[in-house]
Amino acid sequence: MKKMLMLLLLLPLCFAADGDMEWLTFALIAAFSAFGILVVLYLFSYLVDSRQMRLVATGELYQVGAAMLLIVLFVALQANFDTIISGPLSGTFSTEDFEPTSLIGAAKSVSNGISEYQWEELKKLNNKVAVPLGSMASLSATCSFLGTTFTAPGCIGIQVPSSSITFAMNAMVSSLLVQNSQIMLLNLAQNFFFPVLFPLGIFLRCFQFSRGAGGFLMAIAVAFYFVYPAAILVTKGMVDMVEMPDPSYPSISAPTEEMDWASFEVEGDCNPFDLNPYYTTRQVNNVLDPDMIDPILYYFFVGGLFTTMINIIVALSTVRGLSSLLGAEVDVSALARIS
Amino acid sequence: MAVDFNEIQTLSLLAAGITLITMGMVYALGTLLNNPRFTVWVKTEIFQVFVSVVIVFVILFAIGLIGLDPDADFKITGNWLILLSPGAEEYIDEYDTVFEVDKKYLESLAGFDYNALTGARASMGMYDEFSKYTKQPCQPGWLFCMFGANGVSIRPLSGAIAPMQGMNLLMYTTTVSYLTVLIQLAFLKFIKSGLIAVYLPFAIVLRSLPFMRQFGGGLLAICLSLFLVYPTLLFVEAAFWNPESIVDDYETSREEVADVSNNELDDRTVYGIGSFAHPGEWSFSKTIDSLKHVIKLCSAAFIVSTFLFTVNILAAAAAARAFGRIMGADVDISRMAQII
Repeated sequence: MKKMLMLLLLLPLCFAADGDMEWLTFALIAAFSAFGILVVLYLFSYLVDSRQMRLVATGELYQVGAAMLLIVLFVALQANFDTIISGPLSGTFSTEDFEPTSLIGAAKSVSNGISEYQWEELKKLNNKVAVPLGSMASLSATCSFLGTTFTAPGCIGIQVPSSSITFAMNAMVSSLLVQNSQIMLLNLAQNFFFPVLFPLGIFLRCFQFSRGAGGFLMAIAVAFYFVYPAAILVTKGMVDMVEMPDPSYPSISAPTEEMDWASFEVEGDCNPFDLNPYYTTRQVNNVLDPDMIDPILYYFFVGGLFTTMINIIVALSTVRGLSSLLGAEVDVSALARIS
Repeated sequence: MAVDFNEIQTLSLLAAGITLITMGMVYALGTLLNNPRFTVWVKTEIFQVFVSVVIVFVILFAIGLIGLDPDADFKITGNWLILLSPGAEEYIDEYDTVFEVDKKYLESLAGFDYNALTGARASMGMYDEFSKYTKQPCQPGWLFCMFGANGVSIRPLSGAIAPMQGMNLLMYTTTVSYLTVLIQLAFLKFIKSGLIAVYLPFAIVLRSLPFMRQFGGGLLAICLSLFLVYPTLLFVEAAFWNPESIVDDYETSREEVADVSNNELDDRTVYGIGSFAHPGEWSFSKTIDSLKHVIKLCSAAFIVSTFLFTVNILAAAAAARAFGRIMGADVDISRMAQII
């Protein structure tokens, strides 16, 4: 029965796709090093005639066996996950320029796409709304004669919607920061967590005194290599299910450098000489335009900040669960605080 | 504080010897008085003496391994890292010990964070400057402002306040990352000098005393995890520290941010006063384009400095818990991550 189970576990290796498995070399070196150390300990137990030491060494050798099984399992997982499970997912997220061949590749492609989109919208908001509103709000009429000056900041009321745009841009920058952090985490998972921390975790897990640290490192590697990219793809799919148009920016006519500054006629949506409160009302209506606000709120707050938080929480929950399974009891709430 | 580890070895053996003699005397007394409590207690304590001696030798071996004992015969050096990752030889010497490698890695990381922070601060300063440029009227021009300013004044780039507030967030995040790395450098110094020199011998002595065994075991577990597990994790991270593998198109981003930090932008214009002023270009397109690269570097700084630090602390906490269980104490140091 046990042999059948072993063969079943090894069977997926027959269908292993070509992939980058640098971590496998390190993992095997780690497992065999641990095996060697424990064999030496076992032989030493005969030398000192210590039954207790022999029992400990035997118990730890079983753990090395478990570690080898875990290596086999994750080889099969990595080899087949990308072809079976990520195939349909990445097929959904393929673009004209890029066809992802792995789960983590698809997640990176999606995150880069979101980041690029958010960046373009941030630039548009800056160029089409923030800068014109800011310049209009600063317009003032000045009249001075022989030391007496009269200044009428007739467009100062526009600072109200302008400060709202400032707040919006702050949120957009934080969404971009979070998206880029997500991309960095994926790069770390691909280049460091799985190839380095996973084999190190296997090695540490083989010994009783370092089982906790080893289990935790393995859990981090697996969660961020498999679960985190999957969560990114799933949340992207959820965001795309809502039909939301691209933001539509209002046409704001601000004074330009080509204006005739020699005259007192100000071209644009606000003339400081008029002292007309309607200018402010018009810009407030522009800023509150649902065709601009609703898509921005959706793509940045929901598609940017909220989904990223969900992704990290899913990954950390997996870390916690896997850590317990692999022999570590770790409070990962400190990592959740970073989100 | 310099520590002579040979002395610790000698003192430990001396302490073990004295304890064994004492145990022998107690055993003789127990046999004389025919009291089984004494003899059973002695058998338990003798086993603990041998365990303590083994622990001392294992710890001294580990101390030598990570390079704290200069006389150690076998130690892990930077050569191991260079074998694992040839790119590491750019900033690591082959004879560097574990702590020296950790220090160089953290200093390199601090440099990376500092560059990101400088880029964010320079961008913020630039947006602040742009937002304050004022075109002041002077009408009619032929009066040359003899009677003061007249006309319509404008701050054409006043809208730069909006991205400037965004830069505030980036600066805050990157400052936290930079300070976290500096904290780790200070922490490493503390582990090397304070923890090894004071707490470790103290923990070994406490563990040897029957009524303080649990506390001593807990302290020993904390010492072992912090001077063994934590620096080892940093050592491993040092092997694979390469900004190019974390940041896509790193060289381009680095150059763009360096441009911003060095104020070498073509589109910065200064507005003169009066109607004869050269208007220049009313935009800051190159600065706003560089914002994308500043965000990239700040994100990388945050993830590598803050996230990885938390992972290291949690791994050390898991190790401390495991060590503590073996020593008979329940230890939880995961709250150390609240340093961030």
